[in-house]
Amino acid sequence: MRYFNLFSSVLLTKGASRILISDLERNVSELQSLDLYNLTEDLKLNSIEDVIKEYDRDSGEIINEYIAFLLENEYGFISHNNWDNSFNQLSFNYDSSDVISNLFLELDNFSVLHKIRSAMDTIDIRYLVIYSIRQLSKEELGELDFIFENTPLEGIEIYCPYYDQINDAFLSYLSDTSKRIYKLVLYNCDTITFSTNENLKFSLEYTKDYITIKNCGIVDLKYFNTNNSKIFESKNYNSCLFKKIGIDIDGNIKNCPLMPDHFGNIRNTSLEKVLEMAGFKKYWNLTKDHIEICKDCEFRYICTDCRAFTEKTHQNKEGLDTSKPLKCGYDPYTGEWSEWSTNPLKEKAMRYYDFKIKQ
Amino acid sequence: MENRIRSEEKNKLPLNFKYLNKLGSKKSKELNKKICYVKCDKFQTDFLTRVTPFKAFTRML
Amino acid sequence: MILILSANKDFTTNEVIKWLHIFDKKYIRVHEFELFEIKVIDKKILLESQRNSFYIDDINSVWFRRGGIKFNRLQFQNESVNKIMDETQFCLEDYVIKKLESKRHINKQSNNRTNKLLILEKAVAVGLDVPTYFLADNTDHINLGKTITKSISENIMVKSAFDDFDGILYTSIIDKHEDEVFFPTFFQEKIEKEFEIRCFYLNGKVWSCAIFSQNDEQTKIDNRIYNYGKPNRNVRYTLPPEIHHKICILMTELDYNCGSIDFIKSIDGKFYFLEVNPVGQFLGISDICNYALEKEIADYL
Repeated sequence: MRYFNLFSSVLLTKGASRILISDLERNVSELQSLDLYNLTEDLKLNSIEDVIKEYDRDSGEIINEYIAFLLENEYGFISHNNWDNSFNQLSFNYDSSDVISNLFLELDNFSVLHKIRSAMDTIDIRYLVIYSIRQLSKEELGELDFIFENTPLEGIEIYCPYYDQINDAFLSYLSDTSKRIYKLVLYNCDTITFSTNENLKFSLEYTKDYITIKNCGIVDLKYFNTNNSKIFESKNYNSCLFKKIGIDIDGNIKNCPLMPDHFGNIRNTSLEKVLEMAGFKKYWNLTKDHIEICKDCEFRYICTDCRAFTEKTHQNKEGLDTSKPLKCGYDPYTGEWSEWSTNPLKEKAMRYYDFKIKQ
Repeated sequence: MENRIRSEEKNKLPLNFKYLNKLGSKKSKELNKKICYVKCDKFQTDFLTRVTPFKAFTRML
Repeated sequence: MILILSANKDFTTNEVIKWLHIFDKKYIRVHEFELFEIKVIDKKILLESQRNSFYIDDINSVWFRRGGIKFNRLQFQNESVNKIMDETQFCLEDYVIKKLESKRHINKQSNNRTNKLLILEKAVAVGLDVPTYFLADNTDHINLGKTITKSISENIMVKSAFDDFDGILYTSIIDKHEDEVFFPTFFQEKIEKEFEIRCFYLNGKVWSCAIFSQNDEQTKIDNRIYNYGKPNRNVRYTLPPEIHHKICILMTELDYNCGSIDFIKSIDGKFYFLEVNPVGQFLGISDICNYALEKEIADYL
């Protein structure tokens, strides 16, 4: 008798109409049918021969094809006489040594950066994401890394409006002098005065569109990530808000700058105090398994959640919003994607957030 | 490709030098170029590695 | 206070240190090129370098990761004075190192050199299966295709061995006979493997990972040859209790309380011991198997 063993680094996430196979070692995910999922469940209980026997003759061939597919992709292996129990299941614990993984800042005045800098003497912040509502001068862009010199901050990501002095010479200067910037996104970028240079130490993106911070929260395939940390985090915590802290344009400290609840202002309180405040972390433990519709979605562990903009249809006993993210156009029940912003069912929530309704 | 070590040395070398492998690949070399280190007094190192985050913290585009 | 002897650039040390901050443990980090002077203040020994200054009495635990404590040794004009002072300084240095090693520690500076040959002999003595090995300067008794060679040195990197690449001495299969005599070389019987096992040992605890490299021609002989397209499968694994027990005896005999250990599980079901590396990399298996070993180390210190 032959037995099929799934490798522990292969995660099957069952959705309402399909499954997602995530390979945590090769960092890729692929969609497959529910039939394949049911087969893998059968193969946990019975030998390959017994499983084939249970199905009718026509299905036998399909089962062999499925098993061949699983073996070809090295999702599992075959053992003889019994399942191989010397291999242990992977733990899905998420244990990270950061206090704050990312600080999301809506920036106008640089003085707030100095405030954040002094907070870093006591709390470690790994990454800083800056959305600037105004153009940043070349001096200001150059200064960013300098402000955080000698801190445990590992990376800075910047969104700012484009202007014509951001050219190749400046970008390579910035790449040479700043060590922490890993991503620069230029918005409002009509004509470009730079070439997309692969030698830069940061990734460079640009868009014609005028981006506001309210653009955030998009759910799209391009934002799905398959890797250990991503999946361990989303299995245990909220995949966007866990270990996140936000400061909005007025200096209000929030879990995310786009959420309504605030916990004091950077002018008169410290990030450290805010972290200890009741309610600040209320969404940190809300996983996708407890969000309506998402809990039936095969992408739930590789997707990043949004609690700032939701369909506003569900609330749990603790008063947490457990509705599907507003900007998700995926329907796990049909397996189809559609444009979220023209969905009539989302109009009410869109009006609530003051989003323009497209006709 | 023959490595240059065995022809350069006058003394005999162990046989495994004949089977010397190339270290790394073009891809790992490319990746190495982009590695950034930051000085961090708190962790008492001049070489804290900048690691790119495992997910997109914001999704605005 | 924890004393960490490491390299300024060591990524692993940084990861452990992040956890020390979470646990609110104080530490002193010593870099590889730091030179210490031994001073005495109020009868207490103080070590002082350009970066650090501490009393050895204040150190509660020591992690010997890389490098070690190095001392600035003074030279003296008169030859016989110099001889006496050299010995005097050695005594003090040796005392300091041994004092530090007598505290809670992970590995020892005085015992950081491995000798693959001696380790194999000890492994046989504690009853582990070891593939037959021998030294030779010719290939006369070599069974082609069934014998491997590898380095007995710890350092296996060869700078600028190729035009635009460095070289590395991985394990290789001997596929042809040599006419000429060569420098004494380590040969070992090639074991047909089901998979390899990489273990991390810390004070009696063992975390293991099975590495399925057999499916892949590129990594069949040495799993360190990394295949970017299709990495090997790595799976959490538990060694049989008797192997675990023998590892503990071996590590105690070698006086290592931490290290990476490699095994092969052969197709006939035996566990063959390959080697121990007290300063090996463990973040790889820690990440892949989600063992959080950097946290374990921070916790132990």
